[in-house]
Amino acid sequence: MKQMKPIVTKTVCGVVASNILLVSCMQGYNFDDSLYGTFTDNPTTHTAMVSISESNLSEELIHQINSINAIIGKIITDKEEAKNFATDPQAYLASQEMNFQIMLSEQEKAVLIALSDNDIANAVRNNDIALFLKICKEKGYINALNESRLPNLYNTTNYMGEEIQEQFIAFFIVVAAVIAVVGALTVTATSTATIAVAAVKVKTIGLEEQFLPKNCINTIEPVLKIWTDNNGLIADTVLYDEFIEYQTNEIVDIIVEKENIVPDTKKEQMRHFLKLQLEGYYGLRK
Amino acid sequence: MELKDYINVKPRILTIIPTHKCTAACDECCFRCTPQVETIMDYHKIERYIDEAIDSFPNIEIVVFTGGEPFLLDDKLPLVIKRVASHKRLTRVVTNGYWASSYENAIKKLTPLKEAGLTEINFSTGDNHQKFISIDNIVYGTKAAYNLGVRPICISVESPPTAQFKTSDIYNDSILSPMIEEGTLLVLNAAWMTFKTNLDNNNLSFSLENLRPHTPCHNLYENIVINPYSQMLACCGLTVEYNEYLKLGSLADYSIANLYYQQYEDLFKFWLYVDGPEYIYEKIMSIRGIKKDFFPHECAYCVELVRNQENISILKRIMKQELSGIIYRYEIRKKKLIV
Repeated sequence: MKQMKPIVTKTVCGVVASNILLVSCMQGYNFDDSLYGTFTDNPTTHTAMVSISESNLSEELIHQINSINAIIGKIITDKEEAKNFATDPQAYLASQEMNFQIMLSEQEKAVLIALSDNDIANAVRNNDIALFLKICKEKGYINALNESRLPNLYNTTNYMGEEIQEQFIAFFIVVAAVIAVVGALTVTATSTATIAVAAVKVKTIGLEEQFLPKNCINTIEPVLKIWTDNNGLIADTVLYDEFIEYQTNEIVDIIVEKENIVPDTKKEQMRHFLKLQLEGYYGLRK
Repeated sequence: MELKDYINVKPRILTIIPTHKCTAACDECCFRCTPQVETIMDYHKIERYIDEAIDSFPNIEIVVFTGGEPFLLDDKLPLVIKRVASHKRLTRVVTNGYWASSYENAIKKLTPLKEAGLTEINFSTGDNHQKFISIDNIVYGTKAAYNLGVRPICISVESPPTAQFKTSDIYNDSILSPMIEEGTLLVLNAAWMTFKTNLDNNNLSFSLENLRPHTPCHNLYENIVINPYSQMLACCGLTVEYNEYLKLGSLADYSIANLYYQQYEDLFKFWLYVDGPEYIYEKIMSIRGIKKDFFPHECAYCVELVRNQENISILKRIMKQELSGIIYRYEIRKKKLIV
């Protein structure tokens, strides 16, 4: 076994040790037009950006882990607790005599409100996905497109007067900013059907993480976890109708009919582009 | 309790990058590989790392050889595969298929690897690769691997929307489509990002096509990665070599276990693991009052975070206040929300 020197994790880049392999020694690489320049050096020891010990966060970390676990234990089993925590997380913490700050996003709060919502519970228990999604949209539990979340579309006026292709590209950059809050939901996407099938027959390790569209259910649209935790994955067709067809129509309606950002003559072309982007985004390409 | 005990990840993958030398010099290669790169790791060292990694982390299920082009290990490749097999672990080799210039050559090349214990093979192809290696090589190599019983076989295709060669070309190939139907050949859209400075409209469109919602980075902690210079890396991400915070240290001086565990000292990595780089990037840009850029891959967000000193300063400053939210999201995702 290798002799182990005590590890010193640096938080400040220090003196270059003699056995660091400097980038200048790496001949033959194509760094000429490299966007990120050359590789960083290969150091002897690791540099932590935010060291737990040097930031004096060791005790705080343990304290928060224990406290948050205790809170979560309550809120996922008691609707009132969930609602109280979501309504005012800081006040809730204070009531539990916990003295640290916590910031929940609107989506994270929405999960807890939805968890305490009897309409949601009934839809889930009745296995009615259409109703579940409808309630989520109406009550703002998911971020499916609505006009209030599309202010960034107005930024496309910056691109008026340029070639229409550039307008489309610029437009989609903006749209993507909005779409970015709406999650991809399933791993059984059409374009990855082969992978899903093959995964049954052969064992793969690590490929899923590298190549499959990521299941963002727990991150971007956390409320959908309520459905999948109780009823399993949501069908592709449902997702396609809801998150691609519906969103495409909504965006087209807003930017062509209401905002006149793109002319009516380009409506179908834009619909096609938008659908393509959304299909790729969700991994639901037909 | 330390963070490593709290997260309690047991790495399942060992990735060895024995060289950045390649027979190709793809425009968008993340490691800027060319045939002119010289360093190829000595195979004795590779064997030592295999033994040490599996001894320290018995949950490792598979050893992946990638690059660069790992077939440039030549007659040493079967030896290192055999070393993996001696530990009863799976092996995957990622290759551009340059050696499969005919079916016969492919069989000749693959047979000793299969006999040594090779279990999986990944071929990389697409417009960039095909400037150097014909798709015919991929077909020959795949057919040879199939007939030798290598399972699974994957073909990974560069997939910008402007691509001339697409995954549909694989699906429509008369030799390959039956293997796809059978489920033994997987065809994957490889997410690419640009590594060149002259981003044009085509590439921008490509960027949009490959947009992904921000996701946690589960490449961290779960993969032990060693580069050709015996440097341990925190992940096998596309931009890892450009990010000093993802470089864990030298195996010339420290053991794999040492370097692996001490990365848990860094809360930045924990945050990446829980929320992913795009989430963090968005937050930093919001604090800076800067309109965020869009990047085609999460690895691009990661390197953008560390390229700017102000980003790093803000990240350090806000970590304490963000910690509770990070822990909350980490915990709630593990729980079942039963109505």
